[in-house]
Amino acid sequence: MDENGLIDRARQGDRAAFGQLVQLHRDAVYRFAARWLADPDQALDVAQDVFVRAFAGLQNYRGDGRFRTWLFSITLNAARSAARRRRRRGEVHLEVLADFPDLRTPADAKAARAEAFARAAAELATLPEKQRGAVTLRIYEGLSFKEIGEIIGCSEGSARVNYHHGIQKLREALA
Amino acid sequence: MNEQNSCPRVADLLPEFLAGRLSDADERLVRQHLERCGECRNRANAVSLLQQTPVPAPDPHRWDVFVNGVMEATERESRGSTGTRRWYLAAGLIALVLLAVWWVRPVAVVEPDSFGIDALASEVAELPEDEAALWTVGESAARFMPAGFDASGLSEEELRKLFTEIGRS
Repeated sequence: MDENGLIDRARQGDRAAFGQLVQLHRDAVYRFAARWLADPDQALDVAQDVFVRAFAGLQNYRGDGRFRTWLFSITLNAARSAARRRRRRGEVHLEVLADFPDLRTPADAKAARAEAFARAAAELATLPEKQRGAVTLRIYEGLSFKEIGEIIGCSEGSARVNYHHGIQKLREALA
Repeated sequence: MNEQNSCPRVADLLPEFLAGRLSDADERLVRQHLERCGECRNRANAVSLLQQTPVPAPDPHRWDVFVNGVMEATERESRGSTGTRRWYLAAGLIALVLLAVWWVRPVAVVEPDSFGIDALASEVAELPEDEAALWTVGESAARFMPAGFDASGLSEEELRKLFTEIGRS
């Protein structure tokens, strides 16, 4: 069954159909949350919360855009809330420094690349929210600026500007 | 298009270029531009580094049970919202009962005495017959009103004021 068929059935309360939608989109939702938050544990909590919210709000999904774009909007809101809670608790996460997989390269080069990745992830996490959202959705999810604007709540042009400002800052920081 | 004018277009296309998803024409445009523009090469290096940066890995145990966890959470959520709906229904019913009780409550009867009407009645009784006929006598609070005066629609406060004035006159 295609995605729209699953959405229709899930709207009618078919939990198995919704389970298939979760299966289809969990990687993308987790990936976006993990990059945005730079915290895998919190990203898992957020991803779970996203699907619970999505199931409760399926009637509000108008179907005039991609389902994944709608899920990313929910993800961004949930991730913002999680980041606010984290700030209130005064937590600082450094897990990105330790979580990169083993790379099949010589030890020195491997260490250098792991360090470069950690720096890139850390710098990305310091961007202002809209820039971080635009860069993450463009680079990792390949979304158009129009879709990005819908998700981060701005026009297509503003999404493009946010993306380029974010890339410019990262370019300077990672030079 | 000169090199500087191409920068915004090339910058837009970098993620697809680096992922190998461009058409041949766009691929050629970006490649030729990058050969000549150092600024865009630096930008491309940054985007490339970001693209290669792996996503932080989730806890494998939690990941394995992710879908089940979501399904259980949605189940709990709907049970919770059903419970909440029941509470709303009960609260609505209670409100309806209270409204019905208020609607059929005994309406407080305005006692004529509260206006000092009994005293006025005594005075009217002592009036000569032709003068007493000028007063309306009825069952309601307005039983002693100047004849022909319609007191319906007056509030209790207005009635009280009126009777006080009549008593004084």
